[in-house]
Amino acid sequence: MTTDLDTLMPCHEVVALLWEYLDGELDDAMRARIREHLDHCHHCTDHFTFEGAFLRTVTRVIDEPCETGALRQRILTALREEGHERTRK
Amino acid sequence: MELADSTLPPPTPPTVDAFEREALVFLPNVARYARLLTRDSADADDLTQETFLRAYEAWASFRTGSDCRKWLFTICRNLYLRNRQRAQRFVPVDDADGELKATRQMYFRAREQGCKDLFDRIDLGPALQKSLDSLLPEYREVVVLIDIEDCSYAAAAAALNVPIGTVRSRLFRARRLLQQSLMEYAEDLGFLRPVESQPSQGGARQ
Repeated sequence: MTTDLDTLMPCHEVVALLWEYLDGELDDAMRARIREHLDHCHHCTDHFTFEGAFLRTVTRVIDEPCETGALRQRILTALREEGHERTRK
Repeated sequence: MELADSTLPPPTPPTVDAFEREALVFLPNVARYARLLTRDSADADDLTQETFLRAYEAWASFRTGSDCRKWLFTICRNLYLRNRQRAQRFVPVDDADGELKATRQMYFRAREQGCKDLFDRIDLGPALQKSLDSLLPEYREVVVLIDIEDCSYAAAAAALNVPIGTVRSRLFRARRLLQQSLMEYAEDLGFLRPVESQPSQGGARQ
């Protein structure tokens, strides 16, 4: 199947929807139009890949669990006190 | 209605052991999340503790099988937003399109220097953490909601009580600022040439 290149969205319109596309904010029809553009435009594909890698880096770094040894004990103590309080009520 | 029946016993709180097994296992994630929001370790510890106490109290209303980690994040975020004293400061009105253009320029720069794989090539964790800490809370909150909690723009707007356009423009600006700081970090490590001294041709400095 061939695509009429004249009907493809222009690059500047595709790039304007870059983050919405990567965040899954667009409806199916618009996603399909952007995918169609990306299938034919390696410049935009490279740009979207670059920003996708950036987003993965952000998510990985900010979602990294941290060390919580002392805090865990503090919460367990508070929970046991809370449980004790509630049992008495 | 069943719930209104005063003869029913009050819901039984979970045993601490059960709660520990099913909810407290997410403590490192919630603590991390609280630190991102508060940027102060003592405040973050208080917020984390309050989150788990709230979750414990409400455990009867948590549906088994649903995403406990996400539920804890929601409690944590709501407590944070309710308790936070919003500073009366000027938050710039952002131009989402301008932010996108600036982001695109950064991509062009990386591409011209043969660094399209920049984000996979070097450990950007320390730089990103520093940059996140330096963002205004209004920007950081949007990143946290969308990139950790996986909220839609509409859900983030509802949680923060701002228009969806504000979420969009703050998110784009936050990402541009984060990306800019990562590019500067890469520059310091010699992966990218500084803007001023770029020759017209050539690859990345190694």
